[in-house]
Amino acid sequence: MRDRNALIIGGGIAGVTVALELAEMGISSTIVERESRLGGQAGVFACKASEKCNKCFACVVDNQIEEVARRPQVTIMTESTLGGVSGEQGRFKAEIQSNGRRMLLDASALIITTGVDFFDAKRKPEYGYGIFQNVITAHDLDEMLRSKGGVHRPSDGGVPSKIAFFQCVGSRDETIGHLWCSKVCCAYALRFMRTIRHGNPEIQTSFFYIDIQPLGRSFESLLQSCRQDEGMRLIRSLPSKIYGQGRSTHLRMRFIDPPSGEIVEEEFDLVVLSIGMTPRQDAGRIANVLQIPTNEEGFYGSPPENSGVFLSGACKGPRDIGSSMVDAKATAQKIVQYLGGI
Amino acid sequence: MRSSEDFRIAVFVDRCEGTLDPLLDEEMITYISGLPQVVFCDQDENLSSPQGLEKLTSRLTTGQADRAVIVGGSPRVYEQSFRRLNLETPLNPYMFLVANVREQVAWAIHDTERAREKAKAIIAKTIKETQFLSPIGREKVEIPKEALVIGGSIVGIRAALALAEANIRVILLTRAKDIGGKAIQLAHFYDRPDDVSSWFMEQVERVKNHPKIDVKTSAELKGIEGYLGNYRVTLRGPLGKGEVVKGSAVLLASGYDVVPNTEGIFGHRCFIFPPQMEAMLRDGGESLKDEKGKVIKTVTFILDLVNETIKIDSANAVKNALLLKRDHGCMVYVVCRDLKVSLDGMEKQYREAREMGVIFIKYDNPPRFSLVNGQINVEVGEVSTRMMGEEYTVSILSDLVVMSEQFVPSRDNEMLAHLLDIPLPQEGYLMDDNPQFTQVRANRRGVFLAGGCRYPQPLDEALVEAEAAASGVTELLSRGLYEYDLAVAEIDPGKCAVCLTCFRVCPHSAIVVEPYAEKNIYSTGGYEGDFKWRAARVLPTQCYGCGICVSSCPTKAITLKHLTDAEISLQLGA
Repeated sequence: MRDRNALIIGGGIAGVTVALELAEMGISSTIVERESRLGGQAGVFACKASEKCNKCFACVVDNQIEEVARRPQVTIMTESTLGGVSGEQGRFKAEIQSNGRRMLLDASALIITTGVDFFDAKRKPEYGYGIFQNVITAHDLDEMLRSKGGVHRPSDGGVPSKIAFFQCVGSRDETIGHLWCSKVCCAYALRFMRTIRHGNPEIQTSFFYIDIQPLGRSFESLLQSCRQDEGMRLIRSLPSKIYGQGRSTHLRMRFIDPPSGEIVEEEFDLVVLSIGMTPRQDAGRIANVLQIPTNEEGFYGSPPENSGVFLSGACKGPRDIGSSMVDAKATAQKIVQYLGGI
Repeated sequence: MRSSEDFRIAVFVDRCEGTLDPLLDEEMITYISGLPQVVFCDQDENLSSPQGLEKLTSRLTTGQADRAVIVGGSPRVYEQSFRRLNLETPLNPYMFLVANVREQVAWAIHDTERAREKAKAIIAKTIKETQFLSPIGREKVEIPKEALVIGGSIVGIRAALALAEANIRVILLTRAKDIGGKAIQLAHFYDRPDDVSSWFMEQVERVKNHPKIDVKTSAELKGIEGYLGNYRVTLRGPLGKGEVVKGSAVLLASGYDVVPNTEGIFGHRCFIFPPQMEAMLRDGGESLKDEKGKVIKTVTFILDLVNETIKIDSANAVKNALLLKRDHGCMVYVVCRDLKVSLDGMEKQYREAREMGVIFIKYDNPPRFSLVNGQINVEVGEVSTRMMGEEYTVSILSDLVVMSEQFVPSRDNEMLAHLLDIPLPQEGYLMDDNPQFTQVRANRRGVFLAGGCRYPQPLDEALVEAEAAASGVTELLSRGLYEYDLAVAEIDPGKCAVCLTCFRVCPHSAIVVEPYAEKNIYSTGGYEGDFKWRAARVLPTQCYGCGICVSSCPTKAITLKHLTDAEISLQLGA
């Protein structure tokens, strides 16, 4: 049997889950994480429960991070990056830059779980992100809910009365060359609306979309509860532009009203942009180092079979927390097979 | 029980990196040290750190104390260290109690005086509670590296292969005459460029010829019993005598069922379902012909009348639309409410289809169908054509209309849920162990779920799930042993009235009823010899120690070993 230690590049939910699963199978691993904390993009989400749990998985991430820190089989290196890799097929020597030092690590398997970046909403200037204070991204909203416990207008701190959610910002958009669906944002925004309406029933919410994308097992009941809620409008239309109105907190937007087919104008006092997922900026560099193919979108394609290199999570294409975890478990199974089984 | 005077209690104060300093001042330490039976009171800046734990361990080695109380943060942190990680201390991991003065006092009460009062009350009560502690042992059971996979679909096949490749012996059971399931009828798959039939056949052959896999076809399940490490499935055999097969864990991959609607106009030969479409594309030559030999020119796919929140139909329709357009020159329409593009690479195919001339129509109100000269006229209001409040209806005269089969839970789910005693929610799909978001694990230890028995999912996602479930099995079996604390519920068989309340309320199917009681307090006797009374029994490997049975037992015959009724009464202030 070969040496059994895995080097995991990226300490997001996928990387952490791979490490935990491998630890359970008796395989030790090292997680190399660029940031100072584990959890990645999924590590900053807020709970999105309404009167019941809406299965957003935010709490699961906290749990997994807490869990992995306690495993003696898992070494965690934060503020560290992968420099280069030599050796091959089960005998890798990886060069790691950690806090200004360089070190060499032996690994019998390499797992890439570098995840994704989120779309920079400033690339869609027509939506006014960074110009109008009351245009925020879904991530800003998440942070707001997590740190302040409620929703408010950034301009004056007041509770908004009408919130608009814009879907597909940075996804399904040829003008920016993003021909992919980010898969998670419909469910993400709908859960937000449920949790906001639960806490503040006086807030009216509107959801502007192209096609509603289901996600996971409980999506049908989520969608049902949204359709039944009179304070939630689901509008099949994407507004073309957001206009500010001097010093007013209110924003004006134009869109095609689907029932009539007419162009209408409406005011909202908070706009939330559901930003999509994009390949990481440094995806190309890691692909070069490890000779992994990338697809046209820039996400990673499968590495050659039996190369000892594995991919997991959203670096292969957008994924939510739940599917990233399932994917990580499946990857752990592939690794244990590669390393000779149990 | 010894008199409480004999106890020797060690107290460890965790200052939680200074955050508890205002509360845990000198006066408080003096107060703690002065409580009865306290032999010493140590302090540490961060007790859950490796250094803190090391100090605690060495302090206990002196043998001065026989139980310990930690004053600090949440019990969860310390319990994890002591119980789950087998931290070697001279005391049994269950001889510790935690007085949580951080969450319950420091964070909750701002008034200094009231906070001090409450902290003192909590600490005193916890010290008193230590009298009920007793050591709890650890047991292990052997788990042979064998698993049962139920379901011969591609998901079951994938799971069986993943397990076998990890050195686990697999028995693959299917009620069908051969393995392969529904997916095998697919000729093409949306994210694979080539013919996939050969890939399917290769998987099937690999399973059949794998030395570690035993495939049993035409296997009707009669019963499943046992527990982690020892599940036994009885198969229905001829003449009523059934074969018994064994495995340490059970992986369910029983799939979902489909119901085609052929009522009324939908019975017409121009309406077909996805499997027929697949067959035509697989077998048909350059030009597709219907039964009467007429060349098919126009094909319309109708989506979202059923299965609105499932992605499978959309993916198949886009894939087949591309094939029909490119290879057969058909005019293709896809009529849907929302096109599901949330699959890897699907948005690009959607675009490609539109560029090639496939027409996508989105509706709010369901389309209407009528028969016109041997063709089907599909009438639908296209949402984007609405203007000035008026909606224009599009008419599509189609040679073929591909309807969706409705996806429904497999009829086997009810049987499996019943045989395995796992919950079946109202919607009819098997339930994953929800509170823990484990997804591929059922809430009976050693039972795993993958694919369509959880909910219908596209093939690529279902195959990932098959491997994820296999990893759950592999983890459990990897050590060849399952070790567990006896911190479980225990039934006094003599007091059991066999009312089956515990059996019904147990969410983890951890309770069995067996004849093993020597006596029964409700009986006046009359039985002799080696007669044993039937009584409920907790299977410790299956028990999660949740205590639901304890609270519902009408005869108070059940005790939770690590949290007795006496402790709870004390905590409640009785």
